[in-house]
Amino acid sequence: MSIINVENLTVTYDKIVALEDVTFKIDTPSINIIIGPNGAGKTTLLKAIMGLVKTTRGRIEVLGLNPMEKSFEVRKLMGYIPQRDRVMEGIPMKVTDVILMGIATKREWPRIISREDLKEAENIAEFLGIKDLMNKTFNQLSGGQKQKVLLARALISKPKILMLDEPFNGVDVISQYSIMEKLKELRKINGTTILLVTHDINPVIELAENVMIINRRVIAFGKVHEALNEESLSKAYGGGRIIFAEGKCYSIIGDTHHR
Amino acid sequence: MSLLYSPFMINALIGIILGGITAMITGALSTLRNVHYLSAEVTHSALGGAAIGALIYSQIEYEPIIFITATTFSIISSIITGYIVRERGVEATGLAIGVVLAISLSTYSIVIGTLKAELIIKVNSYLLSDILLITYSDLMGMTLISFIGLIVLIAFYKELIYVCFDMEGAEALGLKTKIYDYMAFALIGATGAVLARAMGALLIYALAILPAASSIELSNSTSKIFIYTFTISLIAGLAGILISLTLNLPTSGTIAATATTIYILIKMAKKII
Ligand SMILES: Nc1ncnc2c1ncn2[C@@H]1O[C@H](COP(=O)(O)OP(=O)(O)O)[C@@H](O)[C@H]1O
Ligand SMILES: [Mg+2]
Repeated sequence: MSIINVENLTVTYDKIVALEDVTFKIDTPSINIIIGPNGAGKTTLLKAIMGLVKTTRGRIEVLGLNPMEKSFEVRKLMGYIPQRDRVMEGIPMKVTDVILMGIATKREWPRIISREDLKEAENIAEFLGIKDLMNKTFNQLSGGQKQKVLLARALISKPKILMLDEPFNGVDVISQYSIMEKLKELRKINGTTILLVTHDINPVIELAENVMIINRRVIAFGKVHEALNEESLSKAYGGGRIIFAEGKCYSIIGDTHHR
Repeated sequence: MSLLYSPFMINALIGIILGGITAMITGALSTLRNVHYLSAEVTHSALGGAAIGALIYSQIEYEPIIFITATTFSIISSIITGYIVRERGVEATGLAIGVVLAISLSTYSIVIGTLKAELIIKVNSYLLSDILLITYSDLMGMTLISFIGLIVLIAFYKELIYVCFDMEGAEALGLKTKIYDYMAFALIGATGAVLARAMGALLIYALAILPAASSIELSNSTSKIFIYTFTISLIAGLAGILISLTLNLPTSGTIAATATTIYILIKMAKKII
């Protein structure tokens, strides 16, 4: 069953065309990795799915709902982890309060937090292995810990769809693996559909069921072995190689940022 | 020491408390919103507004108009800056603040030359307030705005912090961030005007910006940023007025010097600990 349905989506900012004629369907449950160079429109795509940016042309449906018209309903179904450079990391917000933000924002004013909510926050923190951080403040944490806190904030409202924007930037390798394990568990146990944006596929290649290569347009979308080939990489990145070794797949892409 | 029990002194004390409350709101909120010098901008806009208000006053002889115009200007300038920051990102803040400051200060400079001496004194109290000479009507207006500001801050505290911490994340979680963001800018503007009248725009760095900046380093929660900023401003105000009366120094300047000393002491204490 498809949970996200995007047809001929075009998004423009002023004069920049960020996405052009993008069409794809996402089945549930599934883990989908979206890759593409800087400025490819990856963040824009996630925001469009949430109804956070205006679509210039085309149609988006999330569980049959239009995210622009039914933004509140759609956002209730989704967990979103923004690119961490968009978060004001210097603000000394308590980790507990950051996690509870995931519930409070979905309540009516005065957004009262109950004992059960607190318990739920503890459970999620326990699941992600960050329970001992709950009384610290966000600005004291390492990159990996911050990312887990933001993940907890997204998970506390039990989303059907989880979207992560470059979650491994500034995150140590051990934390990357533990986050990936948790994502797999969510997919398996809760049937969560996951969209994960990254500009480097290597850390997440084992996680991926489907890969989308995007550079303003969708260049390839499908199972890892189908979508990930040298032709599509060179279309997206202007060059690149794929190496399959010991059952693993590595992509080597030039560090060019043109489109 | 009979001055201590005079009505001037009571007004001054109320002024200092209101100054503390408004320094806390305008200083801490603009620091949290990452538009650090916005409170400096809005207090200077209040000065420009007060000059226009004085011009209107010379026509209609209604004293509260000066404070009303000052507050209106301050709120509008904050909201305009907010709009630019939202549209163009925080990189545009410096320019936005510069432009609004330039407009406010040139308005002030042009108008001040056309005013009568007594009105010049009234307008200049927004630059460097003589806290012992706050009028009753100003005090009423200041109390009203500080009170409303405090209620709004408390009622929408979560929302305001969410917006400052992570606008995109909050929006994605379903919060109507635009309303709360503009609420923050309006609060910064309104309380900035009260602070300008209570202490003077020239003291904004000492009373709001420095205390908020040092508070964010000291605090292990967001509410402490507000509490510390309030406390620093209040202590500076009280100590400043006592020192100035004892040593016969200008009140506002002494308050600023006290606030700056507290800031330096905090910095030094942090280095030692
Ligand atoms: N709010 C915006 N206003 C104007 N242009 C934008 C905005 N957001 C993104 N863009 C532009 O749209 C293009 C795609 O951006 P983005 O979706 O952030 O790419 P990615 O996440 O793949 O790096 C880029 O050229 C970027 O500069
Ligand atoms: Mg991006």
